[in-house]
Amino acid sequence: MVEVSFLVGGPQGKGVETASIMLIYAVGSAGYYVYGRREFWSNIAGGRHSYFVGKVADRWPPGGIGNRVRLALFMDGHAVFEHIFHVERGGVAVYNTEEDGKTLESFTMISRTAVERLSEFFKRQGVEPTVKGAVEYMKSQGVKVVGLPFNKVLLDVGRKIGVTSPVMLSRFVNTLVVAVGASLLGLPVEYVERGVAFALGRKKEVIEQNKMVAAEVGKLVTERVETLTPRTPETKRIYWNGNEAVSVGKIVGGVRFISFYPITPSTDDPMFAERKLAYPVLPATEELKAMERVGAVVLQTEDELAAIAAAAGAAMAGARSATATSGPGMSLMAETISMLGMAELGVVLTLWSRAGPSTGLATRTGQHDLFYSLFIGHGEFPKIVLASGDIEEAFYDAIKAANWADKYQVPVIHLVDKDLSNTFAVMPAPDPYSVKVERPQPVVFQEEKNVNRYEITKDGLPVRYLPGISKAVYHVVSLEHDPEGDPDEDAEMVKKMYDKRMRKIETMMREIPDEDKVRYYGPANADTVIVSWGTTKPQILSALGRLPGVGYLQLRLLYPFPADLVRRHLEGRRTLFVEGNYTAQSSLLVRMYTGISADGVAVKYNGRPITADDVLEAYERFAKGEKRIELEWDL
Amino acid sequence: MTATTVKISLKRTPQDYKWTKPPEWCPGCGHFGILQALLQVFAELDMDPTRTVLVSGIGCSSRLPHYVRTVSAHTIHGRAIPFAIGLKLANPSLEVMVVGGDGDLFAIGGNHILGAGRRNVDFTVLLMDNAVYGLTRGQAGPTLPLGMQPKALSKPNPHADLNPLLVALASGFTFIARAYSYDIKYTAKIIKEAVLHKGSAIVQIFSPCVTYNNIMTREWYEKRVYKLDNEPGWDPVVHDEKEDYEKRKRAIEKILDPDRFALGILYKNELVPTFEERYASMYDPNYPKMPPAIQPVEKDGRSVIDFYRLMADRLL
Repeated sequence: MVEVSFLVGGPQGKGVETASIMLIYAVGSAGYYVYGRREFWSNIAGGRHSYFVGKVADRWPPGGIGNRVRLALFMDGHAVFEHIFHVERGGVAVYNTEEDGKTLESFTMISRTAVERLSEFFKRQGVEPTVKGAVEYMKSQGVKVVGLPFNKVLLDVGRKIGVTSPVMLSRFVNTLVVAVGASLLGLPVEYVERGVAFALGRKKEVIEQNKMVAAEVGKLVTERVETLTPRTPETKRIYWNGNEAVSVGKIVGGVRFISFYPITPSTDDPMFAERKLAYPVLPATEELKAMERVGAVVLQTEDELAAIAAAAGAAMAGARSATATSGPGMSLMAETISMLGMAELGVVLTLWSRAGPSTGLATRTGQHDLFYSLFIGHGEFPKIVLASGDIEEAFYDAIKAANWADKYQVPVIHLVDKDLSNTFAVMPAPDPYSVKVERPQPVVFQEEKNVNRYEITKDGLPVRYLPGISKAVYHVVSLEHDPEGDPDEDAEMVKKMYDKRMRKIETMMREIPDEDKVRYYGPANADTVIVSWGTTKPQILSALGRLPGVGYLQLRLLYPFPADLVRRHLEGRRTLFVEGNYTAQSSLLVRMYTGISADGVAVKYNGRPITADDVLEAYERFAKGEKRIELEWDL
Repeated sequence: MTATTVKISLKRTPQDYKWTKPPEWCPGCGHFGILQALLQVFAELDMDPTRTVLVSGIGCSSRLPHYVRTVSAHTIHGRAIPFAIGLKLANPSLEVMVVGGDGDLFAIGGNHILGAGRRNVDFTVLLMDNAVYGLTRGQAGPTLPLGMQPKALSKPNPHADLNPLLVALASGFTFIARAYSYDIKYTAKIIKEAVLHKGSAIVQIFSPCVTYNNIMTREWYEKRVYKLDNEPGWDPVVHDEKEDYEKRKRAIEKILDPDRFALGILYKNELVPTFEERYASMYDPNYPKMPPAIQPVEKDGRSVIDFYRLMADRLL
């Protein structure tokens, strides 16, 4: 069994992302599975530190991301300081020896808080506050260090391949660290070349140069962390990130109208849908066969108010429509979300949640927005809030969200987060046709007819009429109304309409399968159950492997809340709620709906995701009797 | 019966566009004239009520769709324009119109005017301008002049008025016109031109609020309005792109006139491609034929998307 955790860190905007993609694709093309996440500042190329932390394995899923990695590739001295505690005993760190003399203070883009903290630490430990000192400290902790003079290596290589400009040579640093990393992983250079070609895209000449750099640099390293022998994967695999998986899920699910206003970490979702236009189709009908591809409207609007209003309009026209945003943007959408409830229009809203409040941590993760998703929009109205646990689930959930918005004519909030958005993976390709696309058919008349769009129905669902298609005349309205869709404040009618709308909740609860409400993992008779929701899933599942006798209840459908199912799973068990916010919101939610109180909560709200090691720590402290565990690890 | 006689016998009258319930505006409200004009235009153009969608926001004027027998959406305050744009882009074969007041379209919804102009979506905006917020009892609207004090205000208006047509022109609307609601016939004529225009059209319709605006009354407007049709040589149409600068300049001159309010078409340019045309040429040639609302997305429950071709560059 092969399993290697790794980290690539360096100055943001100077090739860290490219290096990560090269490495992921390289090990992926050698037949391995990979996943990991990108961490970055709200900054473009101003010198802040960015890194990618992930895991390679010979199976899917590769297991959790812990607090320390086995292989760290530092593109600059700044990265050494940032990750001084992030390499495990026996692990390997690669760095540039030419920066040995640089002091901690000289890196002006390290947070001042971190400089103070590290200075204190170095003083206490008697460590010299330089890159060399930091490296020596890592060695004292059992880390093997591979030091290379990056510029000298590149000058030598440059001479061989005919590149001498220092600016040009500095652009090879990403390939250099990847080549060193690949050598340490025992990966043949041809796979590095595939990674290089994939990450650099269309730039042919640059690709060739980088391939030569990779080949030359790779020879310099003889140590091994692991030997990744090329292998034949068990299944067809796909390389994508969370934003892309959800974007494609919506396309597969029939979404053809996507409106958005730029906001991190959501924008790559609609932008991927735009980049992929027009979409190839199966020859399902004669017409589609002739067309080969279909389009979608991807519309960048003037603000989030317009983004969701446009999606609502498109939904009324009959298109499956969606918008994507993050917390600040959803605030602007609140009033229209309420309108979708009253007017009965179905829109998918993908909420790429990030750490708040306010602008908060624009590029960091957090699970702060659970209550916000549940309660957004004034008044009472049926909606759906569905939280996905990992990238694969998020893909399928995006299809389901599109189905439900269309079928129940309600706003569907698909709750995902920054952690997932920037999770990159080489993983088994999903079965795109395993989720049925359920498209309700509109009523179509032969002769033009006035109709009641808001007829009082048993299941609460509106009769489906579409402008230009149904030959029906009807009114859609945001005020309380009569069946014709005109304002009506008659007390009897108000109650009737209200009841009718709220009946959708029963209909949804009846029709939505249990596996979309909650998922339970672990022994049926577990004494203790870890309860969580969202993207903590891979880390909890990984930790569960080391916690025999402990179960894990993943909450998925958060509104309407499946109280009976949750009660059935938790009654008589000890519960530990693990989640990325201060107030342990899901524990309060469970108590509100089931009366079951948490025995313990483990929370994290420092902008970093919960790691597998965090989960183990949480359980250990819980077992010792702690009721509120605040997790603080910074990877 | 021949096909021609069928068509004639089915041609709708204004009466055919009346909904099942009567208007609820105050007696004498300027909006009655606009409603009447609109019904006339619909009949004249024999618009299909199942393909015509009236979209409104919130306010007295935004109630108008409830009195009309077409498909409609009475949405929320300020969002009629983006709602209408989404509707139109999802199915460009629909005839989409927005009706709203000065507060709805130019205060709370002002940013959407800017967004709409830049796109030039083929739709029509009717601005029912009475310079006050009627439905909340007479507060100052964005078109109420500085220092004016209609009866609901306890102090004179400390805000200056904005010029909606100047804003619309600056944003890129390609049809700019003005009408006056008590002149129903003329209002109908202008609305008809706006509907027929290819691109984003806006008509500012002075529509006195008889309850709360006791200053900008019928008499007040009638002292100031005049028809451009009577101006010798007035031609607001851009026939050639080279004329655009000159035509805009002339429109601006009229729009800015503080004393005399020109009624009629101030600017019209159909040479600017609509958003739908831009979309078809830049994004998807099949768009006009197969827009989002018309597309089949599944066959027997199976997605029509060829996932493996879509993601071919990402499969290993």
